[in-house]
Amino acid sequence: MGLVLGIETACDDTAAAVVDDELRIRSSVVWGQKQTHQAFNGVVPELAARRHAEVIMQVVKQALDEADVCLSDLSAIAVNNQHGLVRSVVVGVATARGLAVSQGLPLIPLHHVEAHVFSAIMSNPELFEEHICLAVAGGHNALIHVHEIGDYEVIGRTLDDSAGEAFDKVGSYLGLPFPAGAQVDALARGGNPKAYDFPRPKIKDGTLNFSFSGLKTPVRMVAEKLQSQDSAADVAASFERAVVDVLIAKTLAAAELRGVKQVSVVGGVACNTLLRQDLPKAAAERGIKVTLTPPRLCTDNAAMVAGLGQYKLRHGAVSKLDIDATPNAPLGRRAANYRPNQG
Amino acid sequence: MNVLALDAAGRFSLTALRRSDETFYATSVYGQGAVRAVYSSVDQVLETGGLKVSDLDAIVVNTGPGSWTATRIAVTYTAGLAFGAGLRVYGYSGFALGKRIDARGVAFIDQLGKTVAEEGAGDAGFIVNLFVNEDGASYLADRRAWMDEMLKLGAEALAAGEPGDPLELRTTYFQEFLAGARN
Repeated sequence: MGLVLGIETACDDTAAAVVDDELRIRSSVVWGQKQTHQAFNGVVPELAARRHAEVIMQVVKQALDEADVCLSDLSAIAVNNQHGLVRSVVVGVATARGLAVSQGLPLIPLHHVEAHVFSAIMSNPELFEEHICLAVAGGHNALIHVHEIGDYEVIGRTLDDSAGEAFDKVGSYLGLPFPAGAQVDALARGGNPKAYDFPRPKIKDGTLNFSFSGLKTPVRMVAEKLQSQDSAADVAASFERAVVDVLIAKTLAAAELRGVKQVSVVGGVACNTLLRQDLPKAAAERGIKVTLTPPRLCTDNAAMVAGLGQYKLRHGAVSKLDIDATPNAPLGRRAANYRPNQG
Repeated sequence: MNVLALDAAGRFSLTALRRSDETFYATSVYGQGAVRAVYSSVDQVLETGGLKVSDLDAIVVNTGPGSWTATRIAVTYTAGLAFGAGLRVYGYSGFALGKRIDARGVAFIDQLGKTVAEEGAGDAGFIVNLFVNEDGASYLADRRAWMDEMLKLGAEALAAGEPGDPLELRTTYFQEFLAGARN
């Protein structure tokens, strides 16, 4: 049985995982850094890199132990070397190369966002076929026409903030600790989504692009005048409603424009309760099927890296150990101008 | 005994390899990217010495202070090599190495630490030799004694049975040194 070890250090999660050749996850370890960055209300790149370097070998060992395998049992090592914070990415790349050289294993370099796209495919093999992928997280926000694995066309993207960034910022306005996406979601469950009529940016602009920067200002102005926790829940619910309305409208417009009947949602914001509830309903009314990535594969993880690594290994996409970190690489050959870090 | 030493804290990635009674050296410049520079210098010295990673008995690495990213790459790369090949890896800070190489360094480093702690790094009055216009060969020539000392330290640690656990290998940052957390 061929096993692939995946290593992921794009931002502030240090992750390692082992996936077998039937894409079963044998182990998946994620070491988060929330406490390191909370005081700054955002990820501090140098601190993130330091934490990665401190724990990465322990994370790799734990992933191997939990899968009950040794390095010599592996067929390859896959690593994200193409997207994220450069200081963080190099830690994963150096570790992966060291392990691969020591064992004479092939290395599989890959793109973090492509691994997210693949995370949905791991739970629904129908997505090996053409589909639209909404990739939405803190570090990226795009609509991707997946013609096939390896052939991507980015047909929409955010022009400024990602939806995940907006959730985190609104969380800070409401006094929630960073990262606040899950907490805004929880708070919104007790609020009235019609309490405030926040704008739906670019919802009718005729493009597939997003813009969440301008939404933050009206939310902040309301949040600054809040008197009670009940009101905070209303703000969270109204803000979430606005973001989700835009995500749903753009995603379904993309599917209809391209005549595609399958949609997937990946990335940290794919965990959002309202998006998971409303997108499948709205899509079903238009005859479109939605695959929601399982929550444990939504946030940054290495199982998606190892899974995509398995696919690439099968198709011969391995490196001769001549690898470097290129953390602003474009996604796919059709998207030469798209850099997720630039919005 | 075969020992590999790696120092990426300065302007070039430097490696030295002790194979029985012979020593080999290599340098690599960061212009090609820090990750590639570090592993290229390791690949190069192993190739020159005719050894594979699995032929090594131990690895020694300068854990810093120095170039943050390149040092961190050196530390994580050697930890990966050692973990994968079942080798011992010994990390020493540049200050610990400096004190050992030259007795005069002890007073200098102690004074440096005291001055920086009291006055801040900007007033410490020392020059970091990162940006001196020097080619790889002369850079290495100036640091052969340093690399030889690293090899010697590795051999001594191995002979003494020090654990050299790759899971415990850490980068040394200047602030930690000043705070007395690392030596």
